[in-house]
Amino acid sequence: MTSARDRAETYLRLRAEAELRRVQALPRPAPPATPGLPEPLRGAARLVLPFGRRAAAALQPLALSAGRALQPLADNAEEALRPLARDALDAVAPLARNAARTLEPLAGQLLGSVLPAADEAARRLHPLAWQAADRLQALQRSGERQLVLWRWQARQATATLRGSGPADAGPEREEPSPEEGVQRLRAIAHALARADAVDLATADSIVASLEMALAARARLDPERLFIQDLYAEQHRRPAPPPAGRYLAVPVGALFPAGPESGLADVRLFTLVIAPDRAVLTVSGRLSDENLRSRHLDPWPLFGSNGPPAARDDRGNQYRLHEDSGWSDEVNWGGILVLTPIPPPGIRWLELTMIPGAAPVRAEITDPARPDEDAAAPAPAATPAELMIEAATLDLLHLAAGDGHELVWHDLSGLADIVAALDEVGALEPARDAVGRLVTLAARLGVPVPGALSAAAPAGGPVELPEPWRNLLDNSGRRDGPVGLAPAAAVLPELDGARFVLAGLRSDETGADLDVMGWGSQVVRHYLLDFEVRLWAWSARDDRGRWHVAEESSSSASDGHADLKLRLVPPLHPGATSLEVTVSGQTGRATATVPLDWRRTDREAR
Amino acid sequence: MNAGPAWWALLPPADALVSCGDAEHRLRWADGRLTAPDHPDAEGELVLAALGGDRSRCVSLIESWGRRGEDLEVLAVGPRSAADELRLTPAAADAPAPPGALRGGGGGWFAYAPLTRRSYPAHRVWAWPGRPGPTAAALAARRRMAVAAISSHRLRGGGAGIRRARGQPARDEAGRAAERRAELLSLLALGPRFQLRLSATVAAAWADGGSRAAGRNAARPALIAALAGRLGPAATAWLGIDPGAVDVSLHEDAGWGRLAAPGGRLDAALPVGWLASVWAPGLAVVAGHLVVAVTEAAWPAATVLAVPGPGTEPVILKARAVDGGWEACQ
Repeated sequence: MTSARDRAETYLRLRAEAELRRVQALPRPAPPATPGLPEPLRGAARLVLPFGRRAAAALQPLALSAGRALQPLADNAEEALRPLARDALDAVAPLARNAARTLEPLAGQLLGSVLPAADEAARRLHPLAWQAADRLQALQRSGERQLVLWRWQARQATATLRGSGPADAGPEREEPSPEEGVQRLRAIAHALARADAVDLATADSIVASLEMALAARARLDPERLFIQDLYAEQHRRPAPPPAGRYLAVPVGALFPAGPESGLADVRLFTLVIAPDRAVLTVSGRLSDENLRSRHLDPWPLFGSNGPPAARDDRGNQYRLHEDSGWSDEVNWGGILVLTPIPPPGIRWLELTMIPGAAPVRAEITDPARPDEDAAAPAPAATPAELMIEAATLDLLHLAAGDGHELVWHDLSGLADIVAALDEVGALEPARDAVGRLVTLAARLGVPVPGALSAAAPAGGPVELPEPWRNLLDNSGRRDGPVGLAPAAAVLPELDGARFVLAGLRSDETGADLDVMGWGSQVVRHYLLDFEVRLWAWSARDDRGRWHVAEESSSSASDGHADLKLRLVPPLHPGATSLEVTVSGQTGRATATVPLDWRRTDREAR
Repeated sequence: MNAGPAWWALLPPADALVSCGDAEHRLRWADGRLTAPDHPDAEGELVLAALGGDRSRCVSLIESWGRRGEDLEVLAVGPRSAADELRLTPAAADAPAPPGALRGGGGGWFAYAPLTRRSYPAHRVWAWPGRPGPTAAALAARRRMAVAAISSHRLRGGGAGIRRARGQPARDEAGRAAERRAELLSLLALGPRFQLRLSATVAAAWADGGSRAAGRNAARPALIAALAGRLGPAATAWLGIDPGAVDVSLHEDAGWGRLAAPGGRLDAALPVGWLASVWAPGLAVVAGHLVVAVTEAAWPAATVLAVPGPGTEPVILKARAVDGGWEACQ
C-alpha cells in the first residue's frame, strides 16, 4: 500500500531523475577558458569600451526620444507591412550593408571628436556617470527584452492573421541551465514540503543528491554545494525572533542635512526598539544637484560637528551611529543605530541630531501592547492555497503598477508546482485558487501554461475577489499623495517572525514601506530562490483602495532583515490611514497606521 | 534476493591504484568485497584508527566503502548506464571549505571513457593535489577545532561570537554534509568499475536476503527512482523508447516481475536485485532482449532469463562477456 507521502517522495525522486536526464542531453559546456573576448580583441575592447559606454549614455536620451516618436509609426508599419516584410527585407538588406560600410568611417570620426568632451564631462560629473552606467545597463537589458518581446508579438500577430489563434505561451525562453533546473526542482520540493506532502529534510536531500549527481558529471559547480547545504540547514532550523518587547515610536521630525551629504534634508521616521537592537529609520530628499544619483554617500548625515546623541528620562546617554542606507532617483533612506538599547520602563528619549540644535523628544508609550491588541493572527487558508494566492499577488502587483513587465511574467515555474501538487493529491483545497489565478492571468494577457489551465476547475473563468477587482480598477493611477509618514506599528508575531513597520514614502505611482523583520524566516535566501514567497503583503487605505506590496529591496543577516516594500497602486489622495496585512503560513497579521503627512514636516530647528 | 547465483557472480575483480602515504597501493574488489592487499592487517589498522591512530588512505577508503554499502545516495548519484560518464575532479570531492577555497587546487582531472574496454587494468587514482587526502578523522578534527575556537570566543564574551554561534549548528551540519559528500565522491573517483560495483553492493543490500531488506518499505521511493533511472536507458536500447517513458514499480513477490508496453510506454515491475545481478554487470540488454534475471553465472559465461518484447514470456539465453559487453551464445 503506497502512502501519500511515499507517492510524493517517489514523484519528487522521479522528477530528479528526469532533470538529470534533461541536463545530460544538453550540450556539454566548453572547457574552461579565460572568460570574455578572445585575447586579441580584449586589448582593443579595453580601449574602446569606456568611450563606447559614455557615448551610449550621451546618445541614449536621443535614442529614447527617437524611439518614442517612432514607436506609433513602427507599430502601424508593422501591421501594414507584415505581408511585405520578407520581400522588403530581401530588397533592403544589400542597401543596409552598403550604408553600413559607408557610414562606418564617418561614425568613427564622429566618436573621435565627441568622446574627449564626453570623457571630460564624465570625470566632472561623478553622479551623472553613475547614472549613465545605470542607464546603459538598463538600456542593454531593455533592448534585449524588447527585441525578444517584439519577436514574440510578431509571432502572435502572425498566428492571429493566419487564424491559428495565440501562437505560444509567451516570449521565447531559453532551455533552463542545470542551475535553473535544480532551482525548479527545489521550488517543487519546498512546495510539496510546505503542503506537508513530504518532509522538508527528505525534500532537501533529494535536491542535494541531484546537485551532487550533476557535480559528479561536471554539470554543476561543486562550490555551490557547500553553500546550498548551509542555507538548507538554516532553512530547516528556523530561529524565532528574539524574545522581548518590540516598540515602534513615531518621531517625524525634519532636520537640515549635512553640507556634504548630498541631501536637501533629513526626516526622522520611527524609533524601533527590539530586544537585540534599537534603530531610528530616516529618510532624506536628494538635493537638486544630486537628483538621479543612485550611489549617494551621505555620511556624515548631519554634518561633521559631532555625532548625533540621545538621552532618556532617567539620564541615560545614548549614541547614534550611521548604519546603512539606500537611494533611488529622488530619495535616500537609512538606518541609525542607537546604543545601548534603551531599557524597559523609560518614558521618553530626546534625540539631538545636530550638536547645539534643539532635541526632538520621542514619547515612548508604556508597552501595554496596544499594537498587539490592534490585530491578531486570523485563520488562513491551506498551505497550497497560500502558495497560489501569493503567486497571484505577484501578478496583481505587476498589473497594479505600470504593467510593462506583465508579458515577462513566467508562470511556468508555478505551473510545475501546481502540477506536482496535483500529481501527489495535495492540490484539491487550492483548486479554486488556481481557477482565480488562471482567470486573472487570462484577463491580463499573461500566457497561461497548459498544466495550470488543466488544474483549474472546469467551467471557465471565475469571479475575482472584490479586492483584486479594486486593485485592477485602480491600476496605472498616478494620483498618489506625495509625502512621508512615520507609519510606526508592531505586528503580532506570525509563523516565527516579527515585523515592525517603520516609515512610509508615498508618491504619485505608489508608496515605499520600510519594514524590519526578525526571525530566520524573514531572511530570504536568494541562493535557495524559493519560487513561492513565504510572506504576502497587502494593504487597504481608509478610502477603500486596495494595495499589494512586494519586496523591492532588502538587506538581511543573522535572523534580521531590513525590507523595503513597494505598494501599488498609489494611495488614495484623500487617505488618512492604511491597514497593512502580512499573510504567512498559519495566519495573517494586521496593523493600521495613520497617514500623518504633516508630522514629518515638523521642523526640528 | 531469490536463490541463484551470488549477485557479484558476473562482476569480475577490479583493481585501482591509490596514493597511500608515500606509496602507491592497490585496492582490489572481488566477490563483493573491497580489500587492500598492500595492507595485510587492514582490520587491525581499522581498530587502531578507531582508537585514534593514524588512518591510511587505503584503510580509509575501505572504511568508507563499508559505510556506503547500504547508502541509497550512491544510487542517486552513481551512474545510470555504462555510458553515463562521471567526471570527478579533486575539487568536487574535496573537504568542506569556505566558498572559493575549493578552487585552485590545481592539477588532477578524472575523466573516464564509457565502459567499452575489454581488459581490466588497474585504475590509477591520484592523490588530491597540494595536500593530503582529507580523511574523515582530519575533517572531524578540523570541525572540532572550529567549534573550539568559537566556543572560546564565546567564553571571552565576544558579541560577534554569540552572533556566530546562533548559526553554528547549521554550519556544523552543513560541514558534516560536505564530509559525507566528499566521502562518496572519493569512492566514485575510484573509477567506473568501482562505481558499478558500489551501486551493486547497495542494491544487493536492499534486495531480498540483503542486510536492509527488512526496511525496504521506507526506502521504496528511492529504490523505484534507482530502478527507473537505470531501466530507462536500457529500455531505450531495447525498444527505442524515450527513457522517460518508463513506469517502474518494485516487484517483491515470487518470479522475475512484469513488463508491459501500454500506449508507447514501458510499464515494468522488477526486483531491486535486478540492479545488482543484471544491470551492474552490463547485462540489461543482450541480443535485443531485456534480461530480467540471472539463473547461472560463471563469469564470463552466464545463463539468463530474457524477454524479447513487452508482454512476452522470458526465454533462456546463454551469454558471454565480450569486449566489455555481452553476446548471446545461441
